[in-house]
Amino acid sequence: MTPPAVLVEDVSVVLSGRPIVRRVGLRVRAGEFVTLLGANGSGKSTLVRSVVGLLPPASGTIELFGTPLHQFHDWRRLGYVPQRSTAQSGVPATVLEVVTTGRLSRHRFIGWPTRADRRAVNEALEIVRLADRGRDSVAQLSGGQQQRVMIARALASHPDLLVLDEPTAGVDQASQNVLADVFSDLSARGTTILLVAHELGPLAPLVDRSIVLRDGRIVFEGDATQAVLDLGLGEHHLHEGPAPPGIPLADDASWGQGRA
Amino acid sequence: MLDLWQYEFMRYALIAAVCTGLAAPAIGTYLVQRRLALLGDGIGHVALTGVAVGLLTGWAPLNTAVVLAAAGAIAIELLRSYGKTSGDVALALMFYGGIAGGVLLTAEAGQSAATLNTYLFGSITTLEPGDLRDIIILSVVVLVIAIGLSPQLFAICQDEEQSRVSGLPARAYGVLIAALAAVTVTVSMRTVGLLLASALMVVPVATAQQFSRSFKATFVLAMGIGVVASVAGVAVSFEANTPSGPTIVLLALAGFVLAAPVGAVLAWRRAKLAPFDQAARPPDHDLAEEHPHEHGPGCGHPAVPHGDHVDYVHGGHRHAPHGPHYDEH
Repeated sequence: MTPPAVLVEDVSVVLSGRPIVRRVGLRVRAGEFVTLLGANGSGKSTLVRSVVGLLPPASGTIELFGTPLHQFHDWRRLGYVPQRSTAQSGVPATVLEVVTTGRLSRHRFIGWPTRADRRAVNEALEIVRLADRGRDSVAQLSGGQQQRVMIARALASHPDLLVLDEPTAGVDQASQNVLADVFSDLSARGTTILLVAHELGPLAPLVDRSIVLRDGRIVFEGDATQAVLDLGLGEHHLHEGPAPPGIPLADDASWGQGRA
Repeated sequence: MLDLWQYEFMRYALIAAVCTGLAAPAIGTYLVQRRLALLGDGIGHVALTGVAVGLLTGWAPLNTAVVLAAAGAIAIELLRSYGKTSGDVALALMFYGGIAGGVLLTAEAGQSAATLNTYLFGSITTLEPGDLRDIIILSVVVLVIAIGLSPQLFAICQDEEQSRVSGLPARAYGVLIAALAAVTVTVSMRTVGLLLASALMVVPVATAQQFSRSFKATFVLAMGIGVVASVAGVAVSFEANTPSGPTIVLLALAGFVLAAPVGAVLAWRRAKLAPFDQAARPPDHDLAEEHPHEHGPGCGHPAVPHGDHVDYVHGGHRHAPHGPHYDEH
């Protein structure tokens, strides 16, 4: 049996002494499209940053494709789109140059782009419908187009797992629709997708499963539309009353372990 | 130019100018890309302490400066990447510590301010063959790494997190860029001086950006501008008997002042020519519903001039005649 693409077991993440993710368990099967939803500060972004290896968890284990994260080196199987409003840096760069950096998981220490790299970059740009903009400076593109550039960069290494941190935030409607098409194509090809979002919008019908975080804990798992109805997503309010059944309450004693 | 070549000290000066003119903008492009344009300045101040250590101990000031500058640059990079201190405070600490240490140690060594001046603002015409050899070797090292590793260095400067997730040794390469910047500052010490070395790393890049759309073009153009400014600066300083460092930097800045308006016009034209996002454009041909009569004078629908044609108001919307049918306008 194929191992799950992402396996998170009892993971807590602590940032400057504050618990942000609390004993979360999560399993994403190969080929599944899962979204992590939640209000600002619910810990969803922190959780995926741990999953891709940017933030070490204070406790718990994370596995990608059945390999513990600290032993995982097959980076080209993983595509990551960080939470950014722009793909620009201090020096102008073309769309092609930015997307080509996504191929460097194959030349991690040294090496220039090969013909195969250029082909993969062009394919990735075609997938996000930006094939005609390759030679343009990223600064000339709209916010939504820049998000698509970052997605193309993640796709350039032909990843089996795509992790995206709020790629739809602040994106115009036209680009949102393009993104929905892109994710639908990728899902059909068997790419596993783990997507962090505020709201699903046009993506809702594509999603297999939604997980809702609040205060660093999973409070809902299942059908996305149901999650929105039940939990009033996006509103900032204190969670009163008992936790939903099946969700273990964090025992505060376990927090001491993660701190100095 | 040819008569300059007759003098041995001018030959040394011109070769050193080409070396620094290439190396400084090459590494400077990465610094600007990471938004660390002022790092070179901080390194220059620390290198000053390094020079003073050399004067005090009798070791070659170039060597002590390279070691101390590299140590300072790496410390800044590590502080920054582990998020312990904000970059600008760490830089400020380097500025003050470096210059205070340099002046204090130089006084200890019994050297005058004039000696320090040759390092602060360059003294390209007093190069010894040994100095020139060191400058050439260090510049070649900087250029080989800055060009050879350009795909990887570009990636970590473009998006450090994404490059870490691609498995790149982002932290190690960040330290490498800082160390190369330190080497470049000390290489530029004799041509433009420690306090102005950073200018040669940043100003040509800023000028190149006025014209370029790609990283590669910025990188190559900045090196070209760096060489032209350095060589012209050396020639002018010889003819006009001015200090070489400030002459080179002022020429580079003059290039920027000339380029900036051109760049602004180019950017404005590009913005005007940029087509609308295809997906966002509404369909430009919207057929009106079946219409029982032809619009014309006296058909009962108010006529409204609309550019080169006339629309007819028809129940809250407008019809424009187009061949045998009407378009919605």
